[in-house]
Amino acid sequence: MEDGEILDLFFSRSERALSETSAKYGTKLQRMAQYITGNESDAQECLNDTLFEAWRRIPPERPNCFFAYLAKIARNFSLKKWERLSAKKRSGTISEISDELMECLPDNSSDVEEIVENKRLSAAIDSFVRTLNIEQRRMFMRRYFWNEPLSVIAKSEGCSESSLKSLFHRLRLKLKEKLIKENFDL
Amino acid sequence: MNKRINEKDLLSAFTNVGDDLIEESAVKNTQRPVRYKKIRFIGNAGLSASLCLMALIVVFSSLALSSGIEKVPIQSDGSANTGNVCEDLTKVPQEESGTSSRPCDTGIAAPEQNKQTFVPPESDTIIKPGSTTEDVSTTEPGKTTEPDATKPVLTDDEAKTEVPPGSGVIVADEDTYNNTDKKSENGAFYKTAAIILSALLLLLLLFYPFSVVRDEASGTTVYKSLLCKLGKNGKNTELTFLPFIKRGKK
Repeated sequence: MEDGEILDLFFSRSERALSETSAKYGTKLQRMAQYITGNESDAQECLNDTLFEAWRRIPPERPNCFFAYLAKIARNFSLKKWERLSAKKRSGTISEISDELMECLPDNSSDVEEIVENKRLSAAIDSFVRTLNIEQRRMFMRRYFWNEPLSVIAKSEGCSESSLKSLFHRLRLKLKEKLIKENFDL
Repeated sequence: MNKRINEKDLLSAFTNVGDDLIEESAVKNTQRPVRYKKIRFIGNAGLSASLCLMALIVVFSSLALSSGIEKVPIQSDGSANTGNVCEDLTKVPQEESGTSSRPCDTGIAAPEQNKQTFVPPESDTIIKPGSTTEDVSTTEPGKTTEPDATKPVLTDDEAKTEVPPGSGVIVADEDTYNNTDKKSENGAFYKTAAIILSALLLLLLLFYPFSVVRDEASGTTVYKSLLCKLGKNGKNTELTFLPFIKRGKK
Protein backbone atom coordinates (compact mmCIF):
# COMPACT_ATOMS: atom_id res chain seq x y z
CA MET A 1 0.00 0.00 0.00
CA GLU A 2 1.23 3.46 -0.88
CA ASP A 3 2.00 6.01 1.83
CA GLY A 4 -0.82 8.28 0.60
CA GLU A 5 -3.37 5.53 1.06
CA ILE A 6 -2.12 4.75 4.56
CA LEU A 7 -2.37 8.43 5.46
CA ASP A 8 -5.91 8.47 4.13
CA LEU A 9 -6.70 5.61 6.48
CA PHE A 10 -5.25 7.65 9.33
CA PHE A 11 -7.39 10.57 8.35
CA SER A 12 -10.47 8.39 8.19
CA ARG A 13 -9.52 7.08 11.66
CA SER A 14 -9.42 3.52 10.44
CA GLU A 15 -7.47 1.18 12.71
CA ARG A 16 -6.31 -0.60 9.58
CA ALA A 17 -3.86 2.31 9.17
CA LEU A 18 -1.85 0.95 12.13
CA SER A 19 -1.66 -2.61 10.80
CA GLU A 20 -0.72 -1.38 7.32
CA THR A 21 1.95 0.90 8.74
CA SER A 22 3.32 -1.88 10.89
CA ALA A 23 3.34 -4.29 7.96
CA LYS A 24 5.16 -1.84 5.70
CA TYR A 25 7.64 -0.17 8.05
CA GLY A 26 7.42 -2.14 11.32
CA THR A 27 10.45 -4.32 10.69
CA LYS A 28 12.78 -1.45 9.85
CA LEU A 29 11.60 0.70 12.73
CA GLN A 30 11.81 -2.14 15.23
CA ARG A 31 15.30 -3.07 14.03
CA MET A 32 16.46 0.50 14.55
CA ALA A 33 14.89 0.57 17.99
CA GLN A 34 16.62 -2.68 18.83
CA TYR A 35 19.98 -1.31 17.72
CA ILE A 36 19.46 1.64 20.05
CA THR A 37 18.02 -0.09 23.09
CA GLY A 38 19.80 -3.39 22.62
CA ASN A 39 16.68 -5.19 23.72
CA GLU A 40 13.98 -6.86 21.62
CA SER A 41 11.10 -6.30 24.01
CA ASP A 42 12.03 -2.63 24.47
CA ALA A 43 12.21 -2.30 20.69
CA GLN A 44 8.74 -3.76 20.35
CA GLU A 45 7.52 -1.30 22.95
CA CYS A 46 9.11 1.57 21.03
CA LEU A 47 7.37 0.46 17.84
CA ASN A 48 4.01 0.40 19.60
CA ASP A 49 4.68 3.86 21.05
CA THR A 50 5.58 5.11 17.58
CA LEU A 51 2.36 3.83 16.04
CA PHE A 52 0.32 5.29 18.87
CA GLU A 53 2.10 8.65 18.51
CA ALA A 54 1.44 8.64 14.75
CA TRP A 55 -2.21 7.86 15.44
CA ARG A 56 -2.32 10.76 17.85
CA ARG A 57 -0.64 13.28 15.51
CA ILE A 58 -2.28 12.33 12.21
CA PRO A 59 -4.50 14.18 11.63
CA PRO A 60 -4.03 17.16 11.71
CA GLU A 61 -0.46 16.59 10.52
CA ARG A 62 0.05 15.10 7.09
CA PRO A 63 3.76 14.36 6.61
CA ASN A 64 5.32 14.55 3.17
CA CYS A 65 7.75 11.73 3.90
CA PHE A 66 5.76 9.30 5.98
CA PHE A 67 8.59 6.87 6.54
CA ALA A 68 11.05 9.55 7.65
CA TYR A 69 8.35 10.95 9.91
CA LEU A 70 7.83 7.58 11.56
CA ALA A 71 11.57 6.97 11.75
CA LYS A 72 12.11 10.21 13.64
CA ILE A 73 9.33 9.39 16.11
CA ALA A 74 10.68 5.88 16.60
CA ARG A 75 14.19 7.18 17.07
CA ASN A 76 13.08 9.67 19.68
CA PHE A 77 11.22 7.00 21.63
CA SER A 78 14.16 4.65 21.35
CA LEU A 79 16.57 7.30 22.60
CA LYS A 80 14.33 8.04 25.54
CA LYS A 81 14.14 4.36 26.34
CA TRP A 82 17.90 4.08 26.00
CA GLU A 83 18.39 7.01 28.38
CA ARG A 84 16.30 5.28 30.98
CA LEU A 85 18.18 2.05 30.45
CA SER A 86 21.55 3.73 30.46
CA ALA A 87 20.83 5.29 33.81
CA LYS A 88 21.24 1.76 35.10
CA LYS A 89 23.71 0.34 32.61
CA ARG A 90 25.17 1.50 29.33
CA SER A 91 24.46 -1.06 26.65
CA GLY A 92 23.49 -1.52 23.03
CA THR A 93 24.96 -0.19 19.81
CA ILE A 94 23.88 3.33 20.66
CA SER A 95 26.32 3.48 23.57
CA GLU A 96 29.14 2.61 21.21
CA ILE A 97 27.95 5.19 18.66
CA SER A 98 27.52 7.79 21.35
CA ASP A 99 31.11 7.28 22.46
CA GLU A 100 32.29 7.64 18.87
CA LEU A 101 30.37 10.85 18.41
CA MET A 102 31.87 12.31 21.57
CA GLU A 103 35.05 12.80 19.51
CA CYS A 104 33.40 15.56 17.52
CA LEU A 105 31.36 17.10 20.28
CA PRO A 106 31.96 20.60 21.50
CA ASP A 107 33.38 20.98 24.96
CA ASN A 108 31.21 20.19 27.94
CA SER A 109 31.60 23.48 29.73
CA SER A 110 28.39 25.24 30.71
CA ASP A 111 29.27 28.33 28.61
CA VAL A 112 29.47 26.28 25.45
CA GLU A 113 26.31 24.47 26.35
CA GLU A 114 24.50 27.76 26.22
CA ILE A 115 25.89 28.51 22.79
CA VAL A 116 25.09 25.18 21.27
CA GLU A 117 21.51 25.05 20.20
CA ASN A 118 19.94 21.90 19.06
CA LYS A 119 18.61 23.32 15.84
CA ARG A 120 21.94 24.83 14.89
CA LEU A 121 23.64 21.56 15.55
CA SER A 122 21.07 19.72 13.48
CA ALA A 123 21.54 22.14 10.61
CA ALA A 124 25.30 21.79 10.81
CA ILE A 125 25.10 18.02 10.75
CA ASP A 126 22.55 18.09 7.96
CA SER A 127 24.73 20.30 5.79
CA PHE A 128 27.78 18.19 6.59
CA VAL A 129 26.04 14.99 5.53
CA ARG A 130 25.02 16.64 2.26
CA THR A 131 28.65 17.42 1.44
CA LEU A 132 29.51 13.71 1.41
CA ASN A 133 29.31 11.58 -1.69
CA ILE A 134 26.37 9.24 -1.99
CA GLU A 135 28.19 6.15 -0.76
CA GLN A 136 29.64 7.89 2.27
CA ARG A 137 26.34 9.61 2.98
CA ARG A 138 24.45 6.36 2.95
CA MET A 139 26.94 4.62 5.21
CA PHE A 140 27.16 7.59 7.57
CA MET A 141 23.38 7.72 7.90
CA ARG A 142 23.17 3.99 8.37
CA ARG A 143 25.63 4.23 11.19
CA TYR A 144 24.54 7.40 12.96
CA PHE A 145 20.86 7.65 12.18
CA TRP A 146 19.81 4.02 11.84
CA ASN A 147 22.43 2.96 14.38
CA GLU A 148 23.37 -0.15 12.48
CA PRO A 149 26.35 -2.13 13.77
CA LEU A 150 29.53 -2.04 11.72
CA SER A 151 29.26 -5.74 10.91
CA VAL A 152 25.83 -5.27 9.31
CA ILE A 153 26.94 -2.29 7.23
CA ALA A 154 30.15 -4.00 6.17
CA LYS A 155 28.31 -7.11 5.05
CA SER A 156 25.75 -5.32 2.94
CA GLU A 157 28.21 -2.79 1.50
CA GLY A 158 30.77 -5.45 0.62
CA CYS A 159 33.65 -3.99 2.58
CA SER A 160 35.56 -4.85 5.71
CA GLU A 161 34.79 -3.57 9.19
CA SER A 162 38.26 -2.10 9.51
CA SER A 163 37.84 -0.03 6.36
CA LEU A 164 34.49 1.18 7.66
CA LYS A 165 36.05 2.11 10.98
CA SER A 166 38.72 4.17 9.27
CA LEU A 167 36.11 5.78 7.00
CA PHE A 168 33.93 6.78 9.95
CA HIS A 169 36.97 8.03 11.81
CA ARG A 170 37.85 10.31 8.92
CA LEU A 171 34.26 11.50 8.61
CA ARG A 172 34.04 12.25 12.32
CA LEU A 173 37.20 14.31 12.07
CA LYS A 174 35.68 16.23 9.16
CA LEU A 175 32.50 16.79 11.16
CA LYS A 176 34.55 18.03 14.07
CA GLU A 177 36.34 20.50 11.78
CA LYS A 178 33.00 21.69 10.48
CA LEU A 179 31.60 22.18 13.97
CA ILE A 180 34.66 24.18 14.92
CA LYS A 181 34.28 26.33 11.81
CA GLU A 182 30.68 26.99 12.73
CA ASN A 183 31.69 28.30 16.13
CA PHE A 184 30.98 25.24 18.16
CA ASP A 185 33.96 25.79 20.42
CA LEU A 186 36.14 22.99 21.56
CA MET B 1 26.11 15.05 33.73
CA ASN B 2 27.12 17.57 31.11
CA LYS B 3 28.45 14.81 28.96
CA ARG B 4 25.10 13.05 28.91
CA ILE B 5 23.35 16.27 27.83
CA ASN B 6 25.74 16.72 24.95
CA GLU B 7 25.30 13.17 23.86
CA LYS B 8 21.58 13.70 23.83
CA ASP B 9 21.91 16.91 21.88
CA LEU B 10 24.01 15.28 19.27
CA LEU B 11 21.84 12.22 18.96
CA SER B 12 18.77 14.42 18.71
CA ALA B 13 20.53 16.50 16.10
CA PHE B 14 20.97 13.39 14.01
CA THR B 15 17.29 12.68 14.43
CA ASN B 16 16.46 16.04 12.91
CA VAL B 17 18.39 15.69 9.67
CA GLY B 18 16.48 16.10 6.43
CA ASP B 19 13.74 13.65 5.54
CA ASP B 20 15.27 13.08 2.14
CA LEU B 21 18.49 11.86 3.73
CA ILE B 22 16.57 9.42 5.89
CA GLU B 23 14.55 8.16 2.94
CA GLU B 24 17.65 7.86 0.80
CA SER B 25 19.64 5.85 3.31
CA ALA B 26 16.69 3.60 4.12
CA VAL B 27 15.74 2.95 0.49
CA LYS B 28 19.32 2.32 -0.53
CA ASN B 29 19.64 0.00 2.38
CA THR B 30 16.99 -2.30 0.98
CA GLN B 31 17.90 -1.86 -2.67
CA ARG B 32 21.63 -2.13 -2.25
CA PRO B 33 22.88 -5.13 -4.21
CA VAL B 34 24.57 -7.68 -2.05
CA ARG B 35 28.20 -7.90 -3.05
CA TYR B 36 30.64 -10.48 -1.93
CA LYS B 37 33.98 -11.79 -2.91
CA LYS B 38 33.06 -14.87 -4.81
CA ILE B 39 36.42 -16.58 -5.10
CA ARG B 40 38.64 -15.60 -2.25
CA PHE B 41 41.30 -18.27 -2.80
CA ILE B 42 42.32 -16.67 -6.11
CA GLY B 43 43.74 -13.75 -4.22
CA ASN B 44 45.59 -16.04 -1.85
CA ALA B 45 47.02 -18.06 -4.72
CA GLY B 46 48.25 -14.89 -6.39
CA LEU B 47 49.83 -13.76 -3.17
CA SER B 48 51.54 -17.11 -2.67
CA ALA B 49 52.83 -17.09 -6.24
CA SER B 50 54.16 -13.56 -5.78
CA LEU B 51 55.98 -14.54 -2.61
CA CYS B 52 57.47 -17.63 -4.28
CA LEU B 53 58.65 -15.56 -7.21
CA MET B 54 60.17 -12.99 -4.89
CA ALA B 55 62.03 -15.73 -3.01
CA LEU B 56 63.32 -17.22 -6.28
CA ILE B 57 64.44 -13.81 -7.48
CA VAL B 58 66.36 -13.28 -4.27
CA VAL B 59 68.01 -16.72 -4.58
CA PHE B 60 68.96 -16.29 -8.23
CA SER B 61 70.17 -12.76 -7.70
CA SER B 62 72.45 -13.81 -4.87
CA LEU B 63 73.72 -16.76 -6.92
CA ALA B 64 74.36 -14.47 -9.86
CA LEU B 65 76.23 -12.07 -7.63
CA SER B 66 78.32 -14.79 -6.05
CA SER B 67 79.27 -16.58 -9.26
CA GLY B 68 78.93 -13.99 -11.96
CA ILE B 69 81.27 -11.32 -10.62
CA GLU B 70 84.74 -10.79 -12.08
CA LYS B 71 87.16 -13.23 -10.64
CA VAL B 72 90.06 -12.00 -8.58
CA PRO B 73 93.14 -13.09 -10.48
CA ILE B 74 95.51 -15.31 -8.62
CA GLN B 75 99.08 -14.32 -9.22
CA SER B 76 101.99 -16.58 -9.69
CA ASP B 77 103.16 -16.06 -6.14
CA GLY B 78 99.81 -17.31 -4.90
CA SER B 79 98.52 -13.94 -3.66
CA ALA B 80 95.34 -12.35 -4.87
CA ASN B 81 95.59 -9.37 -7.15
CA THR B 82 93.18 -7.04 -5.49
CA GLY B 83 93.65 -4.23 -7.92
CA ASN B 84 94.61 -1.79 -5.21
CA VAL B 85 96.43 1.29 -6.33
CA CYS B 86 100.03 1.55 -5.47
CA GLU B 87 100.03 4.81 -3.66
CA ASP B 88 103.67 5.66 -3.66
CA LEU B 89 105.45 4.28 -6.67
CA THR B 90 108.68 5.90 -5.67
CA LYS B 91 108.96 3.32 -2.93
CA VAL B 92 109.62 0.59 -5.45
CA PRO B 93 113.18 -0.49 -4.77
CA GLN B 94 115.51 0.78 -7.49
CA GLU B 95 117.52 -2.38 -7.75
CA GLU B 96 114.35 -4.35 -8.40
CA SER B 97 112.67 -1.93 -10.74
CA GLY B 98 115.17 -2.48 -13.49
CA THR B 99 114.92 -6.20 -13.43
CA SER B 100 111.21 -6.28 -13.08
CA SER B 101 111.53 -8.93 -10.43
CA ARG B 102 109.46 -6.92 -7.96
CA PRO B 103 107.11 -4.69 -9.81
CA CYS B 104 104.35 -2.84 -8.09
CA ASP B 105 102.04 -5.74 -7.46
CA THR B 106 98.91 -3.81 -6.95
CA GLY B 107 97.59 -2.83 -10.24
CA ILE B 108 98.46 0.43 -11.97
CA ALA B 109 101.00 1.41 -14.50
CA ALA B 110 104.42 1.68 -12.99
CA PRO B 111 106.91 4.49 -13.53
CA GLU B 112 108.32 4.99 -17.01
CA GLN B 113 111.39 2.84 -16.52
CA ASN B 114 109.31 -0.08 -15.34
CA LYS B 115 106.58 0.07 -17.96
CA GLN B 116 108.41 -1.99 -20.52
CA THR B 117 108.79 -4.88 -18.16
CA PHE B 118 105.39 -4.85 -16.52
CA VAL B 119 102.26 -6.48 -17.75
CA PRO B 120 99.44 -4.31 -16.49
CA PRO B 121 97.40 -6.44 -14.12
CA GLU B 122 94.10 -5.17 -15.51
CA SER B 123 94.97 -6.96 -18.72
CA ASP B 124 95.98 -10.20 -17.15
CA THR B 125 97.43 -12.72 -19.47
CA ILE B 126 96.20 -16.25 -19.09
CA ILE B 127 98.66 -18.93 -20.01
CA LYS B 128 97.14 -22.17 -20.99
CA PRO B 129 98.90 -25.34 -19.94
CA GLY B 130 101.30 -26.36 -22.59
CA SER B 131 102.44 -22.87 -23.53
CA THR B 132 106.11 -22.24 -24.08
CA THR B 133 108.34 -19.70 -22.47
CA GLU B 134 108.48 -17.92 -25.79
CA ASP B 135 104.71 -17.68 -25.79
CA VAL B 136 104.81 -16.00 -22.44
CA SER B 137 107.51 -13.54 -23.35
CA THR B 138 105.93 -12.53 -26.68
CA THR B 139 102.35 -12.39 -25.58
CA GLU B 140 100.80 -9.00 -25.55
CA PRO B 141 98.85 -8.01 -22.46
CA GLY B 142 95.29 -9.16 -22.55
CA LYS B 143 95.86 -12.00 -25.00
CA THR B 144 95.54 -15.67 -24.33
CA THR B 145 98.40 -17.82 -25.42
CA GLU B 146 97.75 -20.93 -27.44
CA PRO B 147 99.92 -24.03 -27.18
CA ASP B 148 102.43 -24.33 -29.99
CA ALA B 149 103.23 -27.94 -30.78
CA THR B 150 106.55 -27.06 -32.44
CA LYS B 151 108.01 -25.52 -29.33
CA PRO B 152 109.07 -27.08 -26.06
CA VAL B 153 106.38 -27.34 -23.50
CA LEU B 154 106.58 -25.13 -20.46
CA THR B 155 105.75 -27.01 -17.33
CA ASP B 156 103.88 -25.43 -14.46
CA ASP B 157 107.04 -25.31 -12.38
CA GLU B 158 108.92 -23.62 -15.17
CA ALA B 159 106.15 -21.18 -15.66
CA LYS B 160 106.27 -20.26 -12.02
CA THR B 161 109.98 -19.59 -12.21
CA GLU B 162 109.99 -17.90 -15.58
CA VAL B 163 107.07 -15.59 -15.13
CA PRO B 164 108.07 -12.65 -12.98
CA PRO B 165 106.21 -12.80 -9.70
CA GLY B 166 103.60 -10.11 -9.31
CA SER B 167 103.67 -9.18 -12.95
CA GLY B 168 99.97 -9.78 -13.27
CA VAL B 169 100.41 -12.88 -15.36
CA ILE B 170 98.23 -15.74 -14.28
CA VAL B 171 99.50 -19.21 -14.52
CA ALA B 172 96.34 -21.25 -14.63
CA ASP B 173 96.12 -24.95 -14.61
CA GLU B 174 93.45 -26.59 -16.75
CA ASP B 175 90.95 -27.04 -13.90
CA THR B 176 91.12 -23.40 -12.90
CA TYR B 177 90.78 -22.33 -16.52
CA ASN B 178 87.72 -24.48 -17.13
CA ASN B 179 86.23 -23.62 -13.76
CA THR B 180 86.43 -19.93 -14.55
CA ASP B 181 84.47 -20.43 -17.75
CA LYS B 182 81.87 -22.59 -16.00
CA LYS B 183 81.29 -20.05 -13.23
CA SER B 184 80.88 -17.27 -15.74
CA GLU B 185 78.28 -19.32 -17.57
CA ASN B 186 76.43 -20.04 -14.32
CA GLY B 187 76.49 -16.39 -13.39
CA ALA B 188 74.97 -15.42 -16.70
CA PHE B 189 72.33 -18.11 -16.31
CA TYR B 190 71.34 -16.97 -12.81
CA LYS B 191 71.26 -13.38 -13.93
CA THR B 192 68.95 -14.21 -16.85
CA ALA B 193 66.73 -16.31 -14.59
CA ALA B 194 66.44 -13.48 -12.07
CA ILE B 195 65.49 -11.02 -14.81
CA ILE B 196 62.85 -13.36 -16.26
CA LEU B 197 61.38 -14.03 -12.81
CA SER B 198 61.28 -10.31 -12.07
CA ALA B 199 59.36 -9.74 -15.28
CA LEU B 200 56.95 -12.54 -14.35
CA LEU B 201 56.43 -11.04 -10.91
CA LEU B 202 55.71 -7.65 -12.41
CA LEU B 203 53.17 -9.14 -14.81
CA LEU B 204 51.57 -11.11 -12.01
CA LEU B 205 51.22 -8.08 -9.78
CA LEU B 206 49.81 -5.95 -12.58
CA PHE B 207 47.36 -8.38 -14.13
CA TYR B 208 46.47 -10.96 -11.52
CA PRO B 209 42.78 -10.71 -10.48
CA PHE B 210 43.33 -10.45 -6.76
CA SER B 211 39.77 -9.31 -6.28
CA VAL B 212 36.83 -11.18 -7.78
CA VAL B 213 33.50 -9.62 -6.92
CA ARG B 214 30.07 -10.70 -8.00
CA ASP B 215 27.34 -8.10 -8.15
CA GLU B 216 24.19 -10.03 -7.48
CA ALA B 217 21.90 -7.29 -8.74
CA SER B 218 23.38 -7.02 -12.21
CA GLY B 219 24.74 -10.54 -12.37
CA THR B 220 28.16 -9.20 -13.26
CA THR B 221 31.37 -10.79 -12.14
CA VAL B 222 34.17 -8.27 -11.94
CA TYR B 223 37.79 -9.41 -11.93
CA LYS B 224 39.99 -6.61 -10.66
CA SER B 225 43.72 -6.51 -11.04
CA LEU B 226 46.01 -3.62 -10.30
CA LEU B 227 46.12 -2.52 -13.92
CA CYS B 228 42.79 -3.52 -15.35
CA LYS B 229 39.27 -4.58 -14.58
CA LEU B 230 37.34 -7.27 -16.40
CA GLY B 231 33.58 -7.34 -16.05
CA LYS B 232 31.74 -10.41 -17.34
CA ASN B 233 27.99 -10.25 -17.61
CA GLY B 234 27.03 -13.44 -19.41
CA LYS B 235 26.94 -12.03 -22.93
CA ASN B 236 29.05 -8.94 -22.50
CA THR B 237 32.65 -8.72 -21.42
CA GLU B 238 34.12 -5.37 -20.70
CA LEU B 239 37.81 -4.76 -20.14
CA THR B 240 38.84 -1.49 -18.55
CA PHE B 241 42.48 -0.54 -18.19
CA LEU B 242 44.03 1.63 -15.55
CA PRO B 243 40.95 2.17 -13.36
CA PHE B 244 43.09 3.87 -10.68
CA ILE B 245 44.19 6.56 -13.15
CA LYS B 246 40.56 7.23 -14.01
CA ARG B 247 39.73 7.49 -10.36
CA GLY B 248 42.53 9.90 -9.82
CA LYS B 249 41.32 12.21 -12.55
CA LYS B 250 37.92 12.70 -10.95
